Amino acid sequence: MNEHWTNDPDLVENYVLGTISQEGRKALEAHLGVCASCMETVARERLMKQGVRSYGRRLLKERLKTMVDQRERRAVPWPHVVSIAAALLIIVGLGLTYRWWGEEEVTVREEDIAAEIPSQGESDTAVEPGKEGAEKLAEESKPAAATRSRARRETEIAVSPSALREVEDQKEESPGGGSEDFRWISGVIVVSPARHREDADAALMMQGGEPRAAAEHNLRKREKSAVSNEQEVRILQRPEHELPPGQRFQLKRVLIPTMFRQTGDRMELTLFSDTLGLEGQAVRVRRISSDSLLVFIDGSTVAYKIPVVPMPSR
Amino acid sequence: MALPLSFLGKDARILDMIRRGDEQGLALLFEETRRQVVGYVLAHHGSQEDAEDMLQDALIILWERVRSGRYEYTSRLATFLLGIVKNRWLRVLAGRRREPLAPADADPPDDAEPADEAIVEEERVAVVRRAMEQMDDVCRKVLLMFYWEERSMEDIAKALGFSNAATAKSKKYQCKKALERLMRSFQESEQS
Repeated sequence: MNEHWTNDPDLVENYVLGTISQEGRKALEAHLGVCASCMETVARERLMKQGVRSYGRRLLKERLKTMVDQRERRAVPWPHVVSIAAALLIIVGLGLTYRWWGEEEVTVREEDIAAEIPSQGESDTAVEPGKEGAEKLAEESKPAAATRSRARRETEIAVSPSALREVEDQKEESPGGGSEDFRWISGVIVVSPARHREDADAALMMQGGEPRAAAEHNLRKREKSAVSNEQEVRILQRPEHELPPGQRFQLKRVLIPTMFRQTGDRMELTLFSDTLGLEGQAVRVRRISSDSLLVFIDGSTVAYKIPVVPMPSR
Repeated sequence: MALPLSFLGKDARILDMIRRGDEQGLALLFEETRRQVVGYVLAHHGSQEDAEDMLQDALIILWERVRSGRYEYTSRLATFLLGIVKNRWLRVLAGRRREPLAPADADPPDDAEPADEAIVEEERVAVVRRAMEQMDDVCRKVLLMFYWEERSMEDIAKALGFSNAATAKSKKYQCKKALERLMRSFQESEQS
């Protein structure tokens, strides 16, 4: 072996990088112990290796930090995305169900509804099939007091456009077999029957009345008439199973499928419902705008948008 | 026949990325193990910053071992990294216990203390780093591939587009001389 093996740069590099066998290293190290200049050469090479590695590690560490930062910035915040998507889905779903788009919103003030509930001494707008006995008692026991107190709260029931929407024109065969022109429209219950019934019961309790007993004495009539802004409105009711198949989709929603007819000044609404009952109930109608009206039946308020375009000709 | 990588686990994919020199593998692994490492260091008197710093160092050790062919897969990568972090963090804590913060009015330490040797050594290494920053791009790559990645001259020639290993070796010699010159000039300017 060369006396000063450090004169061989390849050997020095291999020694410092540790690519020499154990025996070889021992021989080289034996020489380093007696050669100060050789030791210095090895130390210089070792410093170079350490410095270059330290530089490389620092660079890699900086790049790693940058990469991690970039990945974090690019990372999709899935919990937020899922929440937003779910919220959007619900909004779009509700929008599609109630047709929020493309129709002007009509607002029905609860105050307006309450004002239409007959109270003692102001039942002249409602035409009832009979005013005697128990029926009158039932009429007078309408939940005026309770509803008015609610109206004073000045809450508004926002009725979405769909609530007063007109079902698209259809020339289906009249379920009654009639030949008149008609349209299908949808009524929407804007005050729940339960609420009204509770109010009515509360009002009766105050007066010591019994609504059920009173209703049982009512006439079994399923046809009513009322006057709304000088126009006669005839309200009829038919069971849901008589609804034509093409209109049954409405039953799956909170809608009252209704057949609408207009002859001259007279308007006729046939409600297909098994839950609302004309039987023994006073029916009231109030027009709240040129094309919207409210029908008060059985403690419920049903809102309608009335077709204003000419009736389709058959 | 080599199996498609999709059949292998995440560790295998990351190791393959590192072997190919894809540093994104380290970033992936950082994300995978950060929670575990931060949990450990926070539970042992450290901070989030300490934990991330330790993890980065551990990832670099892994990178060096894999790239130089000295890595052997005996446990999950996360376990391997956590092991390194634990060892290094315990050394840091032991060092802190041995060297409590000196009060502001304490006597300056004796010049002959062996701890100074490490400081001098670190200063020398810092000079090399500064010199490396001044080197041209090709020389930096040649020296990094040779000393840090321990790549053969054939590999370096192929990676950097030299005609052959002998040309790469000649370039390495020139780069080393340039680095030594820069180191000398930095040392002289510091002494003067």
